[in-house]
Amino acid sequence: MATHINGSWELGAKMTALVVDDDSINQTIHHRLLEQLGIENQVARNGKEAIDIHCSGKKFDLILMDRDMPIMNGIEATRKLRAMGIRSMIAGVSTRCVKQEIQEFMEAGLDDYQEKPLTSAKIISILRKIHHSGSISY
Amino acid sequence: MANTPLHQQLSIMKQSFFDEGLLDHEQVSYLETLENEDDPDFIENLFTMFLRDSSRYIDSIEKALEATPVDYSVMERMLYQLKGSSASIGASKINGETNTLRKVFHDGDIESAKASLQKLKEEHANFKEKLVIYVRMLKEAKPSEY
Repeated sequence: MATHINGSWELGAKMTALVVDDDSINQTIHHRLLEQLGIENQVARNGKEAIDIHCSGKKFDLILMDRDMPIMNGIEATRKLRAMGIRSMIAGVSTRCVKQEIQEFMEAGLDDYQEKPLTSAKIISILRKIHHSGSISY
Repeated sequence: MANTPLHQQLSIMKQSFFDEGLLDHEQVSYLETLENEDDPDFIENLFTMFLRDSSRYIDSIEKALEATPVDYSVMERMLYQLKGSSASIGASKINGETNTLRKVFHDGDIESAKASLQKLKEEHANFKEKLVIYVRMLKEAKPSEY
């Protein structure tokens, strides 16, 4: 199914990801999904934690950003990360399906949007965009 | 995978979850693909988490609905959380009842929302009772560490 080799995706380096989600079930599923695809990943429980992790100097190839979270939501966190100059692939993840709400999230600076629950097929489609656009941060 | 009586019981129980519409076959099959030797307790952990979280969400929903005035932001947040987690593990009936409650609540009819919450609580209690047994059987079916 996957066209990657040990998470390298023809890029010659192990990919990294940050899962930003306040729900422990989704955190567990997404963490495991990425792990199975060979992508090293960690979890942030809300937008503020995601910002703090970046402020500590960490960078990721991919950020899976949930929309609704306490303390700082996905829209605000995405805006802040872009304002900080973070160019990683940010994919918004949500159960919301109202066009306007998706639009609002996209306009905050997302590269992609996927509806929950995530599957490996959805993640692979996001990863293909990284490969094509070359927007990887190391 | 061993085909002991316990494993057979697990299969039967799992099938009854599907037949009764309590769990979505597709979603559970998908979650099972994420479980392997690297993470053999994945499903068990997910179900355990759901049992814990869903009870908490429903308690919060009940308190928020009983409050005067009704705590709208807690209701909204907890309903959203429960909708999300139940969908993630394939708990179809819980997800359905949560969506019904959300709709009734958004329509503004508090008394109907309370009635809808009772239905959700019943479904949840029924599901929880069965899932607790299933999780226990999953634990027992694991090979011994020795």
